[in-house]
Amino acid sequence: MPSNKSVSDAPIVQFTNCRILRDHWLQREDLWVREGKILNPEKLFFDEKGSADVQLDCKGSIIAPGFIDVQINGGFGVDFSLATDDFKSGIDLVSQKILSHGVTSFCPTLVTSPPSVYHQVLPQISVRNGGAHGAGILGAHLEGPFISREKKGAHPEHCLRTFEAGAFQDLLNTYGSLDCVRIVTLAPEMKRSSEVIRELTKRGVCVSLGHSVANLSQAEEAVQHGATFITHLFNAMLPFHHRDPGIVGLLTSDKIPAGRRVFYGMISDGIHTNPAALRIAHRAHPKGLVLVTDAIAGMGLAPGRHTLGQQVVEIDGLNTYIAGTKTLSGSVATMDTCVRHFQEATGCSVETALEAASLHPAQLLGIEHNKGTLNYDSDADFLMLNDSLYVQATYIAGQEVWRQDASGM
Amino acid sequence: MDEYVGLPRNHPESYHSYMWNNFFKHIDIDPNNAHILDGNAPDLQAECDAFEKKIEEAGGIDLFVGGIGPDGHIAFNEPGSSLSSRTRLKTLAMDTILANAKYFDGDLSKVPTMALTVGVGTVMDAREVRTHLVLVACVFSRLVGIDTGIESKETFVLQVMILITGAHKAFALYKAIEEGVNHMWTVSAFQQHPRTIFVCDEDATLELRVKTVKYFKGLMHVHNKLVDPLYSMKEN
Repeated sequence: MPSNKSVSDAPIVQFTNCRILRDHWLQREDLWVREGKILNPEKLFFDEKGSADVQLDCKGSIIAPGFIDVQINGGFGVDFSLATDDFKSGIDLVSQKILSHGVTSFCPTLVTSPPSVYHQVLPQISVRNGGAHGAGILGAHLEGPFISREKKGAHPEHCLRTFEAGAFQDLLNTYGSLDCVRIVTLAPEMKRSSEVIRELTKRGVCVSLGHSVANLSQAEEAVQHGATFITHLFNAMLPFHHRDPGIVGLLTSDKIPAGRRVFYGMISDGIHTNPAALRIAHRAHPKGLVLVTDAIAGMGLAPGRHTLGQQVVEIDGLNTYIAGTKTLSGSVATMDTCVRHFQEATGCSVETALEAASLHPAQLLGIEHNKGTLNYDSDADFLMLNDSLYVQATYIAGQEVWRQDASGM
Repeated sequence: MDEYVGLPRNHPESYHSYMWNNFFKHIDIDPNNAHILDGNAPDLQAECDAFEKKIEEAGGIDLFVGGIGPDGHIAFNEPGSSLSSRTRLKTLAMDTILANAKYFDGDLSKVPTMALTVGVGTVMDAREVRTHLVLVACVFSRLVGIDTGIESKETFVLQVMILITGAHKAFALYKAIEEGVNHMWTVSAFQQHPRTIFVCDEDATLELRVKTVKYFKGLMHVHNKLVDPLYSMKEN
């Protein structure tokens, strides 16, 4: 049907025969897209007397907002913490490959590294929109080096630092620049962390607590100064104790400032956390759960040895350890695997599982007016999934950027 | 046929939203062919006059479909409305406001108090009037409609179809068809429209005389005769 659009000449696409995730439930509704944004069809009908130019039959698929991965260290042989000559093409490769996992936006993550690495790598990371070339980059996630020695996990000890001497200035000197930095993970028990957290928060950087031996009051103080995220809950922090719940206690703390929510990352690959622990966290604070992959260079490759910054990592199936040890170091899980595992382990609804990978990370980063939902006027980054939550197609700004081909590759 | 005054067009309870969600979005109608009164127009009377003009320009209405209120109103022609009324601004009766409160979180202060509506006269507009009304009650709980009215090629509104379901509408239905034409129960005016169907379910007939209901139910076999091709071929 010819459309008469008084607002724009751009083609209008109507996705029909689908169930869309909107207002927290899967509704039998059509999805309308124009100029890379989700369009309000009622407004189009009454105000512009417009109608669709193209109608696509989605054959009963689920349409969900694209996944957002806020902790991914690399993949397909690329390590974001290695300052190689072809770093840029490495990040391009990963951003293109993760489209098939349903990720439409991500935060390339750097583990604890010497200052030289930050100075070389960070200027090569730029915030950019996604498209056919790959998922959008929201900014870097700097995990370390201001973390606890006792909870360094797979991070190299010789690169750990403190900001005792110069507080925020020390941090800035280490990283070189905060221009494209979106999240910083640090240990709040470190001296002068409050000043650093306040300064980072003032600059719009999301502060996350992790790799830390902080007790609950130290964690609560950090939240009061602006921290809003917990890096891979349960891993690299003190275990929950009934008289001092530690960082885990933030999930049910009553000292969170009004109007704020603490989010927490969970690697639901079935290895980093026992499903029972995953369920406990989910039931305690369902609205704060953010699925992350914490994927490393070996993700997407055959088992064997790969690097993670300054360390060598051995991959065996889904297990990834520092070579020769039993210390977990990142994962090789893909985001869609995490979503499926999360749904299965918790028995939660499909909507909840999908929102943990889209809406919640968007809310964490304060971008939910644009990303993470299928609300009118937000970016048309979405996925078509089958009922078992396998990604069939990925769209960015309304354009198809990946499709499952018949052979299932 | 109507719209609240002062309610934003995209409010979930506006008639624009209702028509979009329940009808327009499911069909491929050209948006230029969908006309709904604008309850936020700067000059409400001019909006009503323009609506009457649009009906005239379209050559009249082929099918008018509506329900009735518990107070027997058709569209927003509240009890006391003139039976020769045209599209205009109406203040809503308390009955109507109370009935609508459930759509506004039960808060009476949020319910609109005025609306634009087509008039009884707008729908009744006919050059020839024939008194032939057909009511069909359903058998058990299925909805059934039969039209055995006499064709009148002169009418402006070709066919009127009123849908009435539920026990809470039963009294209004009784007033509409078993009592006289009455401006206090405006839907009764359709007794005088040449082609009207009232489609209702069992519960809606609860206030009618048993004789009335039996009469119309008995028409089923007449209907079956008319729709069964084998049968009518034999008759001729």
